[in-house]
Amino acid sequence: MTSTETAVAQRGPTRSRATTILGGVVLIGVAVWLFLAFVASGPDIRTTAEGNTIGQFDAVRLLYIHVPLVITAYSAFVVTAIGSFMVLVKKSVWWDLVAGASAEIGSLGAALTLLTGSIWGRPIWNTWWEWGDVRILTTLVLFMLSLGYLAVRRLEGTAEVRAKRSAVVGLLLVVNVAIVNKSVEWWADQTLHQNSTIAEGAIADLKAFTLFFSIVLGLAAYSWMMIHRFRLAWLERQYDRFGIDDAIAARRSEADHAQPVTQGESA
Amino acid sequence: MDNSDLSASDSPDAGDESLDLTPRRRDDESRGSRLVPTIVLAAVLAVIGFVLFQGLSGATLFLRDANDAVEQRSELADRRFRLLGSPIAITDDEFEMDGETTVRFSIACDGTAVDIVHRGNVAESFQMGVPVVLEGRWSDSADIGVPWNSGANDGFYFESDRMLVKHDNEYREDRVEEAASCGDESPDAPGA
Repeated sequence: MTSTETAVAQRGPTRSRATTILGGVVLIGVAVWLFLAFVASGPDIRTTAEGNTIGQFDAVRLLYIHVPLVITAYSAFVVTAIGSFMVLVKKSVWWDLVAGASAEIGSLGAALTLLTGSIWGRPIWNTWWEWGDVRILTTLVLFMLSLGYLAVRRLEGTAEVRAKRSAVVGLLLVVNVAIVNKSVEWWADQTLHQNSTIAEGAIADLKAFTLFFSIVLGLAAYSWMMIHRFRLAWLERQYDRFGIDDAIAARRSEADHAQPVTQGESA
Repeated sequence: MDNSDLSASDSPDAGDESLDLTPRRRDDESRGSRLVPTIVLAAVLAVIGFVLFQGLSGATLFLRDANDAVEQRSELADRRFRLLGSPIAITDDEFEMDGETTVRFSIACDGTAVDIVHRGNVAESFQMGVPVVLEGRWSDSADIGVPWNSGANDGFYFESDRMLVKHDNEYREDRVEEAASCGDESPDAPGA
């Protein structure tokens, strides 16, 4: 048994000391995040000079999951685009697997972004879903495009052809990320969605700390998932390669067995 | 981990010319592996097409703030549109209109007020100073038969049947007055 095989047998195929530590940090972070978001940080209640009470009340707590999810999805798609670019330039298998792994996590992030946005929208906007809203529609297109990317990766073709095809779609993802991000500024009169809270410094104190903490936690969780998914994809590829070797060995064995019969017939 | 080239052969034995290396695959397996991603791709393209169709076919309703809506009142006539403004006067009284429970309030933006008669669901987050988006059309105040004591009281009102709230991005207590704006630095209420 080689040292790699021993390590795999002991720890599992995608686990390493670094990912174990990172996973542990993420788990502790989730506990801290729950405390910050639901206990330490208060509801959004503000009083105007006229004495009117305004705010999002407890619905503000959804900010601490919705914003990290969308930032994680954006980051994942940017990594996919970088990977896609490298596939086209360097024809690298490594970058192709990075792009694919990141797109899977990005798709999950985009789906959860739409879901949490819808849950937040019901009490705040008074609607679960608004077809006429530019931010919602561009985010939906981003999610669908990421599913399209993953589908293109699985279409028929050689590894090289599939990698190149999906790389082109992967580059479109990052263009769409920019459109989604800027949609509330470019089409301000066609969306209910608020402008960026972070970019305008519109949050402070413990709410701001909780928000930034949740973003860092989201990116740490992305890194952990990314490492595992990438390693799994690499192992799948290795398995495919060994599968080809096995198939060739089987053909050679069949050919060796068939040889005497052919000679006998000709004789 | 090596940084393998995509165009490189997958196997060192792949160049063996003495063997027939044509891939052998069961027909159903081949069909299945092609079918699922193709269906997903078709569904993705269909949804993207539908979304673009929705966007381009008028489902994307343009938001007109109170100031623009008053300026364009004659052009808008009885057309349905979305009106944006911050509530400046909310009355507690509900009254019956054509057999439906109706609420009245006024909104303002850029110093222009509009009186509202709203039938239907009132948003949970409907608050003084937090901008609302109302869907409906202009009507003549003479039809309503109830006098307006505050707001515009200009002979017209906006008859809405759908209320959405456009919450802003402020969460700071020291910027609470900016949060109560309808979207720009101009005063919302007339004479403010």
